[in-house]
Amino acid sequence: MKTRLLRGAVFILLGLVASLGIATVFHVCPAMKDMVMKCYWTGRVSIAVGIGIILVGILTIFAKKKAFADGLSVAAILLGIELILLPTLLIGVCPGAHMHCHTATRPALIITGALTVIYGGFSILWKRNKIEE
Amino acid sequence: MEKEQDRGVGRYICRCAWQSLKQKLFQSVLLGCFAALVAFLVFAGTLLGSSMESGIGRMKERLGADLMIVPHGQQGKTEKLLLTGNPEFSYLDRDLEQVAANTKGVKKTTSQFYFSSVSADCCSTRVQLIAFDPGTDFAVLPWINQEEMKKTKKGQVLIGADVIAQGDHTIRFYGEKHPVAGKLSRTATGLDQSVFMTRDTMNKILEDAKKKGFHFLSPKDKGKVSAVLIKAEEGANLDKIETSLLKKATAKGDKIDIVSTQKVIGTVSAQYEFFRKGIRFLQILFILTSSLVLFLIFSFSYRERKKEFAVLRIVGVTTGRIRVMTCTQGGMISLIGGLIGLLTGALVLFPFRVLISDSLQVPMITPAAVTIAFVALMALVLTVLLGVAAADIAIRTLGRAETYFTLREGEA
Amino acid sequence: MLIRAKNLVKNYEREGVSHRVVDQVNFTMDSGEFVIVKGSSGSGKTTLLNLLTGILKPSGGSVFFEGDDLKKMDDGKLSEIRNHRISYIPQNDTLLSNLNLWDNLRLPFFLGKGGDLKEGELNERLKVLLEEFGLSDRKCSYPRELSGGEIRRALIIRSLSLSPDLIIADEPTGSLDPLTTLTVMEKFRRIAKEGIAVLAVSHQPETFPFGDRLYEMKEGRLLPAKVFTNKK
Repeated sequence: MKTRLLRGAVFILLGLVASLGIATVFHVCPAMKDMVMKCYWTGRVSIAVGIGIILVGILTIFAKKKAFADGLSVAAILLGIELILLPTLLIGVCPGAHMHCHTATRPALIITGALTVIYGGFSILWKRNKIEE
Repeated sequence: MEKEQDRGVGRYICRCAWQSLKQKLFQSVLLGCFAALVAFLVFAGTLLGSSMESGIGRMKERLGADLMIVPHGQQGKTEKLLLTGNPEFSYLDRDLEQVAANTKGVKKTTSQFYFSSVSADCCSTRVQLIAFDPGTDFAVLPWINQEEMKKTKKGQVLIGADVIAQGDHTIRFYGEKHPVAGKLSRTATGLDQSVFMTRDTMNKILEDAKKKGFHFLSPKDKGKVSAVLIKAEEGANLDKIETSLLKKATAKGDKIDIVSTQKVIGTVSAQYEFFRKGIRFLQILFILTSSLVLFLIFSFSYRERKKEFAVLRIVGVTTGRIRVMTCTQGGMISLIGGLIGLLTGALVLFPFRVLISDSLQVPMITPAAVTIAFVALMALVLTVLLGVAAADIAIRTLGRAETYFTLREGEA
Repeated sequence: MLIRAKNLVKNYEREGVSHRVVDQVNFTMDSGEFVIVKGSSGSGKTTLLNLLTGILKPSGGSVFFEGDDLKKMDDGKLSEIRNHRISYIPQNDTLLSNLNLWDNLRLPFFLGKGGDLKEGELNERLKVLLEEFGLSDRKCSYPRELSGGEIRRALIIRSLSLSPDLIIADEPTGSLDPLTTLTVMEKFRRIAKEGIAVLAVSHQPETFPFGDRLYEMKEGRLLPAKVFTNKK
């Protein structure tokens, strides 16, 4: 149970960074009266993806069978890849090098996405000798 | 007798150390966290300081002028321009340049015209446009080559390190494309967000803006300049030049401010010094605290492992070898923690470098890869030595009691 | 003479008062002898054994191993003797919990001087001993997975691994059932016949006849009790 709790908690933490983090510390440029920049949409989608990763984390806590837990990890990996692609290829952020979405949001999403992918892969590869009761 | 290395003694000791770490996972994680903290602070703190120092050095080189004459009330805005590139300005009479040139102690003068625009290629951020005089300039020209300079005379522009050009190496202002002659190297100042051009090119842009219905210059500002840059003679007294210029301008009826770039640098340098001292203080504080915590955790751990050490003594393991085993364990956990600390430091410092620089308002230039590698190695070595030393001191302190390594009757 | 204790004394300070735990003990043993010491809890048996193995330094008197005074040896020499000349089996389970049985058995070899044995020779020797003591299939088990009897047998295997001259065992059959007790004592008897001296501390009367000589430890003094002529 402790292992499952820890495994799920890591995903929940990563999801919180992607959602709560993007909504606060790593926020995108604010929407203006007559103009919404693309970073605004990146932020919105990232929050949704982050919530997805949190849900994966919660389900992982209750996943007793390795196969199910591995499936959840695969889902997390895909969500992590999406986090990386959002500010780079899928939608993007403002190109201005000193804009907040460029200096904070973009690196935060890429790093969080990468960590989610790495941790998801690690979870799958980590051998568990016993099926937990 | 077989040599110890043939017997795989080293491998056995490492395996024992690793098994001990796994067995006491919570303690190991705690030790690792402190080791990670030390490595993080040493690595990130040292690189942060080094980046700031390089940034300030580059800033000193690139600012070029010693003094700048700007319109009255523009002093703060000009300092802001130099540091962050956020443009806000008004204009001066051009003949002030001649007034400055005739002042004692002044070696060279040149004028610049500032203007800000929205470029369709640079999203919604305002881009600073700086028009320079190729005949007299000494602030921009030293940083561009002959080829690039020739191209600027033909209407091409030079862009700062943070300005984005289109794929066909042009930049668009008010519907018209302007070829980019080159990109200037990073200055870690507001000049990185500027576009440099001749006055003729600037005038063309203003005309294009007018056609689109944007009237930026009033008729009275035609022919004026935004700033007069002054390069003083070697050893000249800048304060005296400043006083003299103010007197002359007042006599002429012009209201001016004078910006000392040395003072701007001085302000930034003072801020850097403050951060540098703060970082150094934090580093020393955490190294001392972590050393103490590591020692205490190791001591506590060794007290719990009294039976294990007694068993080792019983089977004929020398106290020296026990020290090697405990130091190996200390070194192992410090190495793992240190690597995690370095990775965390890299993840914080490099991707968020611009954010850190903008937040602290201190220019930063990323050090060379060799410097980064050296600092990383130094941080890791320090962390491992700290772990090994803490483990060694702990076991030596506990081992002084004669009966420490014995098992008493009935003892579990 | 393999080992000799001469006027051995050990005092401990407790709350400023000196307590004599071992009092003028004189004792000798030769190779191949099986000596048993009986005594109640707190009589000083374990302290005597710690003195004989050099783990503790005496307050008075000396212990001579093959003529050399243990008191005058440095830590390196003493450790070498404890590693492959004198094997000590303490009363309690002294297998390391973080190592499996196989690594526990090889501990004296890898962490001590290891004697004249090579790793390959040691592994072969251990395989034979594991087979003899019925623990071959427990090689990869951790101590928490072994029974009390299995642990006792494992400790005997470890003590034999480097072919010592003397085995000192503190209550080797302490928590064992009667059948296993007899089995262990039989093995010690056989070991002694092969030329290794065995000194065992025991409070179980059924074990006494296995020895050549019986002593009694009483209030720190070692008193001769019986010499057995009928050896089982």
